Amino acid sequence: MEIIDEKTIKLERELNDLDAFVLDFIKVLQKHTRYVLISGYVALLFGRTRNTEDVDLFIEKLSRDKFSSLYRDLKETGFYALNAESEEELFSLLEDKLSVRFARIDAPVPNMEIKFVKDILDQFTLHERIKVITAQGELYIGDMGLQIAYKRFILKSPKDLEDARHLQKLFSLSEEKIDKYQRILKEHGRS
Amino acid sequence: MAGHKARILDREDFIDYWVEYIQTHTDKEWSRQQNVLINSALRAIKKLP
Repeated sequence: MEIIDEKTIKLERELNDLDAFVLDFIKVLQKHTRYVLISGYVALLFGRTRNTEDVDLFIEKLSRDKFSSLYRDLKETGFYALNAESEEELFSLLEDKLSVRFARIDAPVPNMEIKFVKDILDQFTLHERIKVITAQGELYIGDMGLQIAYKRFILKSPKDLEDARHLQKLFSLSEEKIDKYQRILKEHGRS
Repeated sequence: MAGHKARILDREDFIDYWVEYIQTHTDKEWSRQQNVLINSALRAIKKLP
């Protein structure tokens, strides 16, 4: 792993089935919108030894027409939505700040759990995203300090605390930096 | 309770050990080991009836 600059990391890991699924999905998604991968997948990408059935990400808020185009493209490339029958329902879920899940047609696991950005903090996460360069393609992930603070102070499950420990140690982030992010989370109503 | 605490410490120790392993080995080396876990779980799910 090589940290090229504040916004770019080069990762020469061998990719696994989950990474391949994510990259396939992202190839379609990024033709339609900006995105940022967050939470558990970020920890897995950087080596956490655990599994997950879903991959969380934010996307920009899309118009109905743009979402329609994305949905059509996803269907044509072999993805389907797990939690709604129609495009209207899916768009409505996103508008209601809920998530929609997409998987490959023959396999509901793993799946991508997508939400529209809903406030300034989500916008910040999207805007300040970090590029991860792999041999098979680029991925964008959320700011590491924010991911760690969210897991440590908001989610707080044993799995999330372990993810936070892993990432904080791996990237040698100080307690002061994580505390700063905790304050930002509080200021934006996450507690 | 003491056993539970010990298990948490065990897991934290392992996380610290594994992070050190990642930091002292190439991406290819550590990812090969991680991929055994991730691929086997995802492939097992696909085999479910």
